[in-house]
Amino acid sequence: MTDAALVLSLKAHEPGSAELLFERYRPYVERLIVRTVGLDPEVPDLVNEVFARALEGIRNLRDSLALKGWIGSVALFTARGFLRGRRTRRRWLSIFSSDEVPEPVAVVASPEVSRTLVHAYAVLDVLPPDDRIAFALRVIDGMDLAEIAQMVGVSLATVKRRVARAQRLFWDKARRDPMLREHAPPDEEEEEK
Amino acid sequence: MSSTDRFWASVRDEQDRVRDHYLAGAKAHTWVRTRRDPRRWALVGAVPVVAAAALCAVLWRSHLPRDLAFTVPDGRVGQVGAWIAAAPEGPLPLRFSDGSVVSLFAGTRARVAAVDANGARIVLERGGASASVVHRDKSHWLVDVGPFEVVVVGTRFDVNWDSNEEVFGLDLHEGSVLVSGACLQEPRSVVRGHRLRVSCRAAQEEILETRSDEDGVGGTKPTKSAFEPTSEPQVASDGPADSVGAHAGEPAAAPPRLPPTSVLQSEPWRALVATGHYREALELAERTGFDEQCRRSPGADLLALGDVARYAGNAKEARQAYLAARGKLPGGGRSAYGLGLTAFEQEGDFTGAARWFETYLAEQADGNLRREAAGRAMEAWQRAGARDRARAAALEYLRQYPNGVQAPLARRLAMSP
Repeated sequence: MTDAALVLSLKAHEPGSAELLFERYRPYVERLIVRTVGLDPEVPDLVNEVFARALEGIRNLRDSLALKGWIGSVALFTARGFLRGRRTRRRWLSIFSSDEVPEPVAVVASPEVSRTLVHAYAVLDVLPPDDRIAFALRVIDGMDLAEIAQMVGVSLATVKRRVARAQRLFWDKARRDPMLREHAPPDEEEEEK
Repeated sequence: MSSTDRFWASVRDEQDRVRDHYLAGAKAHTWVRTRRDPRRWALVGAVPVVAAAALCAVLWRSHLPRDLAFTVPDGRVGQVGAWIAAAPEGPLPLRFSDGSVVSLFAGTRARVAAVDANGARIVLERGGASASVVHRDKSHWLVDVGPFEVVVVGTRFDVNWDSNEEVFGLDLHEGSVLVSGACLQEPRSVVRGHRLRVSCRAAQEEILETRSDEDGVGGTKPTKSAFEPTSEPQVASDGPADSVGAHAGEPAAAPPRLPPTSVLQSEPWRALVATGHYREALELAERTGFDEQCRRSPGADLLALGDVARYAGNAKEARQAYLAARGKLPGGGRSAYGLGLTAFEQEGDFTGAARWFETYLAEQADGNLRREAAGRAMEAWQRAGARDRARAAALEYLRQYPNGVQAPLARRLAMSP
């Protein structure tokens, strides 16, 4: 079944169409969520939520050929909301914490997660959600800038600006992390000196 | 590709690998037609909810178990975050209120970065330490050593980081630990009686037996860490039954224990191995005639010589020493494992490596490296492109070690078409 036929099927609430959507786009949505959010224990719930939102909003999708981009947008919108909520929650919790610098969150209690990955995501957590999403998709996933712009719903120039800003902020922080600093690109300011 | 690009590529690969494993059993694989629990706080209710949460948090924190405390040798209470330097003359024990002791080797510089009720995080900037961590239900200790992290629950081990040579070493006497770090391809579990050695510069990692009954390699129980500076007075003890005090640097009356005289006299390079000077050890063995060494040395020495050659990056001599060892040890000892590693890591001969690892498994029914060999065999078949063999090895690995460190790879291979 083509995407166009699937969209029509979804709009008509045909049996099995939701399952087919899930089956076809689950890996894609998982990838986007994990890239942007990290390996958070809530990833499965977020993936689920993306599809629930997609089913609710499918009637508003006009271009049935743009299903993939559209569901990607839903995923990123969901990820953005989650990241914002998590930042807010951490800010509140930090009021009660005596630690000066929060420890990286071990997002998955599994030895398979290397400390480097955990440290990298601890630094990513500091970035504003919009910048983080653009950065993760561009730098980690290697996605095309124009594709990101389309999915996020902003101009190409805005995406470029977000990526550059996030990149600068990430490495500023990462250079202070013993596990990450060796991977940092040359510091232009230092080089100029 | 720049170092930064490689870093992001490795992040991406690792994320994919973990994602596959993590989400394999998650409910995302089953379609649930509901929204996740709403997490938006209603504006009207937010203020009282936050106030109540704050009160609960304060009350909760006041009932938490007390954080561990620690003392330094003169009885002073140690300060979290303060740098501690052990004098060049001898070790410096840090005693924790739960009975755990971390004894810094002479000349080591470290700090206790954090403590809580269940453990502490200790950062070794340089040098090494001997740790004896008391096991409790919720024990959780971390030792940051150079670019490595050692996760500890309850155990006794020696750890060392040579920042000049970029060599990490860990000798485990009791329990088990999990080591991760930028120089490791994946976290490594180290169990009792084994030594993990990682050379970041040479991109080599290896787990060796230190208390093997099958070949006698390193058969002297580690009465004193191989990582400790040689100038330091040695502490007499008798292996795993040692008291904490002995490892905490309280010298007993017995004289210092040295490596067996015969080893020192007949194979001087062995002394260099003990201090981690592998290249120098190999050069010394070569000066005295490598072929001659292979001909007249006992099997256990030849295994060590093979290790030395492999660490030094000389695959040809490593192979020669391991092959020579095969004829002198019952069942070949762990020579087949060494040959497998040489083929795998230095010669890129994955088919040959897989066969050697399987030879080890066939020869050493009770070998201490069986799990590592099974995992390596699986990986070698995969890299050799032998999908059927890789899949068979993966199934066998999962059957024997369902929770082994290679289990995620095994599951992926087992499920591949």
